[in-house]
Amino acid sequence: MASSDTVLIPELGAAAVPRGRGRGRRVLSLVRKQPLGVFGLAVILVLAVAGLAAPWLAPYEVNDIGAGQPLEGMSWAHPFGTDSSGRDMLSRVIYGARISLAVGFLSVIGGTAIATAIGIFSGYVGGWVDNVIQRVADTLIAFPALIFLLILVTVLGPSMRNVILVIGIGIIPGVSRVVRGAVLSEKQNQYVEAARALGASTPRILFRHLLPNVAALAIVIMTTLLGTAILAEASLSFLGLGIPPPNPSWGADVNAARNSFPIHIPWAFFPGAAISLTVLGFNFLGDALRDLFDPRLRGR
Amino acid sequence: MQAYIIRRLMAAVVTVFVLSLAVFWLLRLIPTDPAVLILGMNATDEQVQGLRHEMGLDKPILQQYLDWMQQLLTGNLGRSFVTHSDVGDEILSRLPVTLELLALTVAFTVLFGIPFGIISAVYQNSLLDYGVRVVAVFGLSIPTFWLATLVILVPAQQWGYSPPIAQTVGLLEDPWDNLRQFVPPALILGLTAAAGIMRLTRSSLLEVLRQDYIRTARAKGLQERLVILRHGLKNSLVPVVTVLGLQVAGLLGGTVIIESIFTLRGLGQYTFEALFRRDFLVVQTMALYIAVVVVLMNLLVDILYAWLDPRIRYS
Repeated sequence: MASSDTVLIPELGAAAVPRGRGRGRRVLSLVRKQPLGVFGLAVILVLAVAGLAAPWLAPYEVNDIGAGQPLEGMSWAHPFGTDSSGRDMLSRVIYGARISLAVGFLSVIGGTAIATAIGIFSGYVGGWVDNVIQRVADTLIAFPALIFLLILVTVLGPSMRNVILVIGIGIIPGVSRVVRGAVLSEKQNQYVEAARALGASTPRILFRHLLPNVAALAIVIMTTLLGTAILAEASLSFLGLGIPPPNPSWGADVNAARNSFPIHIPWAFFPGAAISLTVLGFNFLGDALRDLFDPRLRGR
Repeated sequence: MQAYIIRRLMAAVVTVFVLSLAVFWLLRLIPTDPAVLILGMNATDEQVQGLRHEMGLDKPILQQYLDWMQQLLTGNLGRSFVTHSDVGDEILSRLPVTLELLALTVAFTVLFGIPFGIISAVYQNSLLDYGVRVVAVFGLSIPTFWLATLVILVPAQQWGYSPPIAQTVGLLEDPWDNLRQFVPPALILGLTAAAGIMRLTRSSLLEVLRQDYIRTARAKGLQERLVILRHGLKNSLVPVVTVLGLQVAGLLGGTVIIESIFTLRGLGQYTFEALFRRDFLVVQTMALYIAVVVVLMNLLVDILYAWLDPRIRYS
């Protein structure tokens, strides 16, 4: 159901955008239309740069226990204070961006890729295969994700690789369900029928024709999932079943701060604020992308 | 409808069965031997083998599962080998804690989520709408465990205040202390849920307000307030109820974190500690229990769905 201000045929809509416009003006108009989305993207870019350039940006080594006195407050030398072993918290937060983003991207890309393959297959083939896959997905979706992740990571043992693996697995059922739904509705379209009439093989229809058409949806889902995956890693590490110390996981650092005495607020505050900001960035960006890709939701 | 419910119940039994078998099998893949963990490093091989036999761990996994099921069917949940307490008794004594926490959380979710969703939709694209939406995205982004940690640490450091810990107080015993214990965790747990519900209420109401019958209601001169409350809201709540029901599953996961931080002796804390201690019996029982609750919630939601929207007919 397209509202009056959107063009009914998307291809025409894209062509109708004046081509002569300068890049600067286009960026400006995007900022005006999706200020929060642009803000989210900016946050993510800053974090990505911080993570990649951590060795040059961070004032101290991650585990330099001589960086300062234990439990120092905020100062010019240590803007985020220090922890109970005198490690510089700003440096740990900067290095933590690496872990969060690496876990987020790897688990989401891996999980979504497998889920998309399963979803396309299940939706296109249909029949009893689809039925069995969907019942399994039902079962996994029904179970609380965090408890599922906790059990899996207990089985595999806490490590960065296993956290990525477990979160990636956790993503599969939900995403494959959404992709399957999209394939079911795409399958009705004439272009699929036309391709089949021309004698295209099933894999060709799946990957050359259906995949590009569900790709936009997959990108929107992935953006929001990145936030979810980063939250999941932080929660697992907070519970002591994620990235093992002394790695600078934001979640693990909040937990360390919680369990130490005397209470030292900056130590607990900054790693958690970093998680919030990162997830906020992905959520804002995800919302904006959904608005852009899904004309039905425009202006809502 | 009856045929539908019966079919769904049968599917639910299969789901619960598959889930419990999967968890049962997964737990036995954990490399640490629970018998060694219980007896300690100094135990002799004989002692370990003896305990493994007593726990039934020396049998094939499928046999262990069938034994467990048989025991469950007699109504006996068994006794933990780690804590030596009766699992059924533990669940019964902890259930009220988790139920109160969940009830308060759902109350906060509905109380904040739905009204703000309505306001946001009615004043679409106003400053108020933007404000509410931004707050909602914050609600979805802030980790529960971090907020909970700050809510405990900051008052403790600044004013030396802490909620009653160590012992969970019953609501009837001491209502004031009880609420001091339960309201902060429920508010924190409800924040994420309320943010989701707010966004859904908003988009669902906006969708409904574009329908023809809303235009008709306005055209016949109905007050805007009545159009929204009587015609719009009722129809827009159908998906909201669904998601609220599904959120209970997520909240059960959330209780693991929140109960551990606020030291509430509930089922979430029980599950987490059992997992940590490799207390298989407790973990598999809790997984089964959670699966049953979630599956029943989903069924309830679908039935409620048909009741809210008479156009939906199951056959």
